[in-house]
This record gives sequence, C-alpha cells and structure tokens, in this order.
Amino acid sequence: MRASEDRISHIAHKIQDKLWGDDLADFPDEGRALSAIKQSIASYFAIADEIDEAVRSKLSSYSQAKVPGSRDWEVLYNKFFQEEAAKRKW
Amino acid sequence: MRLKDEQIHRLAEKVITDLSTAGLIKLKSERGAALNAVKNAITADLKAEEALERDAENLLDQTLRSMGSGAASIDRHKMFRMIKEKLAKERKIVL
Repeated sequence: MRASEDRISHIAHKIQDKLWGDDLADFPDEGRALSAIKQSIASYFAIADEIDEAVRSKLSSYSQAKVPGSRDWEVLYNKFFQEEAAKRKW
Repeated sequence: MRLKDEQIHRLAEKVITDLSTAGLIKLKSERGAALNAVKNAITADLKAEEALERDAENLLDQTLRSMGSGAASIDRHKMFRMIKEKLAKERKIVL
C-alpha cells in the first residue's frame, strides 16, 4: 500500500479544507499547517511501506511461493499484510 | 489505497496530535469534532477511489471477455492498473 506524493498532498488539502470549512479550527500559519498534515500522512504511510517490504520478503521465501501479481499471491499478500499491520498496531 | 476504519481513526488521531503538538492548529470546538472531520475527509476520498476500482474491475472484465481466447496472454494486474489510471484521469481523481 503506497501513497504517492500527489495523493498525500491531495488528502492533506482535503483535511485542512474540511477543518477550516466546517469552522472547527483555525490555522495561525496555513502553509506550515498544511506541510505538517502532509508530513503526518507521509510518516503514517512510511510504516505501511515497511510492512509491505516485510510481507514481500516473507512471500518470496514462502515454501509454496506464488507468482507475484497472481490472484493467489494477492490473497496471501493481503492476509500477511493484515497480520503484520495488527502486530505493529498500524 | 484501502484503509480500515481503525486505520483511518489512527491516521486522523496522528494528524490532530501532530498539529496540536506543533502549535499549528487552534481548535474552535471539541477535539472529537475535529477528529471526526478529519476522518470524514479521509473516508470521502477513499470512497471515491473504491468506486473507481469497482468500475475499473468491471471494465477490465468486459474487455477481457470481448478479447476471447486472446485474453489469456494478458497481465490482468497490469491492465487493471492501466484502466484505473485512465478512469482516474477522466474523473480527476488523484491516485
């Protein structure tokens, strides 16, 4: 699960717009606040990247190795990803 | 990108906590309301992507069916990605 820089930026804008538009918060420095939101999202997904690497590594050494991208591989990937995510409380 | 409800909650918590810790946000109501707003913003965006993925999957199935036996040599995963990217551009969804 990877999030592109564009996607992170897009979601960060949505979050800031929502908080401001619903009159729930003010941002003393809008630019810095937006950067901080992007950074929070990026660091959250950085953990997902670590999990992804761990799962791919596990799958490649799996005794019943599947072809990457195949349906079987996807099923196992999702299963292992959820297990690893739960372990890391992600 | 798919996130479960609890993952969206953790991400929203992180956003609000990081902003508060850095003194970059002045909440005008309860923290819970801001937290819900962040969760709603993330959820709305993810739902648009989920709809896009469903449509891309349907379009892929239609395309492969129309190709008959020629579809056997197609990399389904790669083609799905191509269709998804094309639909995203049409719908102006950032992936």
